[in-house]
Amino acid sequence: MKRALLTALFATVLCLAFAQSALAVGITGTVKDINTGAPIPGAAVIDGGASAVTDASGAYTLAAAPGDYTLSAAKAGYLTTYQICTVSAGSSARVDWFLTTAYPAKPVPAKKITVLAWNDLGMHCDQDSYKYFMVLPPFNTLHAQVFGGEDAAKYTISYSFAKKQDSTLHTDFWTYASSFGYNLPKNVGLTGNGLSGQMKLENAQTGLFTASGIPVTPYDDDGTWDPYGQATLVVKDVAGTVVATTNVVVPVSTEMSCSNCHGTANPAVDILTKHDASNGTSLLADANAGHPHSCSECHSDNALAAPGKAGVESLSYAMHKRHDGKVSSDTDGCYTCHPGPKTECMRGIMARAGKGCVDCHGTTTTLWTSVDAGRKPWLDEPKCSQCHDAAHGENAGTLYRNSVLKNSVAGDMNGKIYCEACHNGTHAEYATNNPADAVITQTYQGDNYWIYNCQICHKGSDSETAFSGQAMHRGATAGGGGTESHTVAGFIDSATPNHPAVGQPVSFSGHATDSLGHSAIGYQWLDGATPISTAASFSTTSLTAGVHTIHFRVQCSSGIWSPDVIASITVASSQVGNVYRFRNLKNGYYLWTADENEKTAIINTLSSTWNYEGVAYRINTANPLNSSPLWRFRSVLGGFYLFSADASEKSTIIATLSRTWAYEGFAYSVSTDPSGFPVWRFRNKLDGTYLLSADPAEKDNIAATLQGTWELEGPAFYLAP
Amino acid sequence: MPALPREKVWQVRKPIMLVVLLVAVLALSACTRTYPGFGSPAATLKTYFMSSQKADYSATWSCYSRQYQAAVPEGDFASHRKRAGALKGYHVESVSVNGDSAAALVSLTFAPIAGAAGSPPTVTKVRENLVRESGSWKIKVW
Repeated sequence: MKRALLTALFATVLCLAFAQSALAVGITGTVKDINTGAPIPGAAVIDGGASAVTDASGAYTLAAAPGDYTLSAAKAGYLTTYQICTVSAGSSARVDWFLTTAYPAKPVPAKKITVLAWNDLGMHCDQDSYKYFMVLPPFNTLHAQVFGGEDAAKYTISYSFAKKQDSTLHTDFWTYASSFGYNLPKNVGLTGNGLSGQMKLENAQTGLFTASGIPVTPYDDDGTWDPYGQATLVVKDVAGTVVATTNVVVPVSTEMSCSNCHGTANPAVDILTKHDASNGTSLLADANAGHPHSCSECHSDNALAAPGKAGVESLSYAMHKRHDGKVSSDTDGCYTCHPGPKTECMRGIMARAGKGCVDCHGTTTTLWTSVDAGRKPWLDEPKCSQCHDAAHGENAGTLYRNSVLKNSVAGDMNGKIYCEACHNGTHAEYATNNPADAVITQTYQGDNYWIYNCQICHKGSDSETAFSGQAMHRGATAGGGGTESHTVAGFIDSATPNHPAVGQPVSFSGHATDSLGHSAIGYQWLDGATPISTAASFSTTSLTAGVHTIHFRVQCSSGIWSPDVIASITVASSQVGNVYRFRNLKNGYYLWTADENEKTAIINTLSSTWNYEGVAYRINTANPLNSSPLWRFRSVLGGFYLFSADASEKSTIIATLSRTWAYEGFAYSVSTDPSGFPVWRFRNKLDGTYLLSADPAEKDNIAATLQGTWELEGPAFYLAP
Repeated sequence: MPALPREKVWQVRKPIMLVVLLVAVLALSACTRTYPGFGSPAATLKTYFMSSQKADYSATWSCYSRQYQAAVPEGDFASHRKRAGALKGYHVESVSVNGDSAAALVSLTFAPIAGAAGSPPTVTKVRENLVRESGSWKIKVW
């Protein structure tokens, strides 16, 4: 009997363990704001069927059986983002998200001809000195496409550098070029191109212009270190008339930190000494005799189309294998040899979303063992489709840098527009964290996003098509799917304001895309399960206090409904206190007050100095979370204000900076709980003043376009709904 | 010729001594004030190129506009600048001022770069753009 009981107990435990492991299957992760890193509560993560909404910390758990999934993450005010993932039997998959703020809706200046230009790799490397060896020569490549006018063959594009006209001032490449097998005039690169010249129409079908092998260095002629210098492109028509000009960044760096391991005295000598000792070569003696060698003389190098010598490892293989274990397996480790901690080559949106070198390329070990497995360095490189859904993947068998748009709803764009024309070179995918990259997008769109605005090429488009960048990629649906099937997708373009009060009008707007070009015949908006509208856009004042999960779906003319997309709206109760913002007309400083008397007094007596800008944000005074004090300081020297809800910051300022900051005391009550809506604090880099913003669109617009002036310090405090 | 009374000698010598003292103070002041500062485009250009010539790249960095300084920290600039060509001479050919911006045409002479010993110095002409920031004229890169 006892034995039978034990057996039953054991069986029960086994069953429970099995059930527990089955329950563990699913997808977990967090959703955060890419600009601030702050968690995004209320975002919807959908796998095409099931959905989950993030909690106050931005975390979500989505039940999912083993299989492959195309996930989307959506939240009003942000762009819907897609990722693929695989859930294996008995385990959970982790998918984290960093969402980008929705496109700023604004008109763009009309231009007859648009020229998009980019650097192919986002960064090129060269050397300050070639006295001892050559890993890579000065070699940079620019591409350009012309839109909005005639066939590409009817244009010419020239390039030049205002500040980089003589590379021989700062590199000795041409002194030793003949040793490397190149008989080149000064300032002429390997392909015959110089620091100015004509781009070549490389592909008449796609209209791709290229200038390859530009021998540019990271130094301006006057010696300024300028790894993100600009080239000027001038487009002329057949009559020789200039029809467009633009500037484009030509990134280049010499930051190979060999001295980290090979000594600071002369790392090149140490490298050659070790190479000679290991391989029986006489590279150092040859270099000292004035005849340095190129690594690719023996080591094959696809970057230079150099075949190397039979039986000698490729350069990529040899370098990664030799240094394996000597550097860490993360971006910092890669930056030991690749540029670099100062250059910061990794600056694109993927890096901003937390991806490092190894997330795409693998570890140092992977980089050489994969060659053993047949990978060809430089030719077989990471694929977008490793993480992104099919609609956003590169062309089959083609690198991202050579891929073109193939799944647009508008067929005449397919096969013509290069991915990099709109998204920029790899490592520097828009929107980057380096303002220097955004020359083209600032010129045409006035922001640093990727090219999304249809009006850039399609002059006079109405606003509906003008801001539907995601429709560019057919099949970008919540249900995933490839590019060949019939796909209907709904998109929530806006749900504003972000956090209204009861009775305040809330406007919703959505649109549809259809892979077969069918028109939309029906729209459905639901508040939970309750229908609230059947129009593409509508406004309502009937939302009650609390959190509302708004569903949106679209029906195409063949009767198919899109999967739901979701927006989360939190409506505050009507018990709100207002916080008012004023701007000083003389010096641009800001002041916030929740004190009605102070507000009235300023308006009545100081309106010539302080301009009343209205309600900056509302505070639900009924919510007990909104009870943390916010303190106000006034700059003794400048007369501007600083607000802090951080007790330790307050104490520090009072204790150590009282000569600079006069403590004015309690301002009003806010929340320090991150589940509330953040109010962001910016610091002006130029004059040290502060700006508070509770408007996500304003915050992102400042972070995107004024980052040279305003530094985002993060959430200063929160407003509980 | 009768010797002047002692008081008279001092009366004659006093102004001479004062002039000598003044000249000495001015000379000393000129020696300690290394660079002319940023009060005019010409002063900034002089500070910029003179410091570069002395390989005093910390001072060179101080000549750049806020935008460049925000993007490139002083240490990064200095460590890279010393690996580029060494400036040996400069001549400001022209300066034009337009409100808060200015442009200058400058002739630069660089030493032969390392490894190319024996080759002649290189002379090049560059255009420098300047911008007035809070009253100071600074070199504008972008």
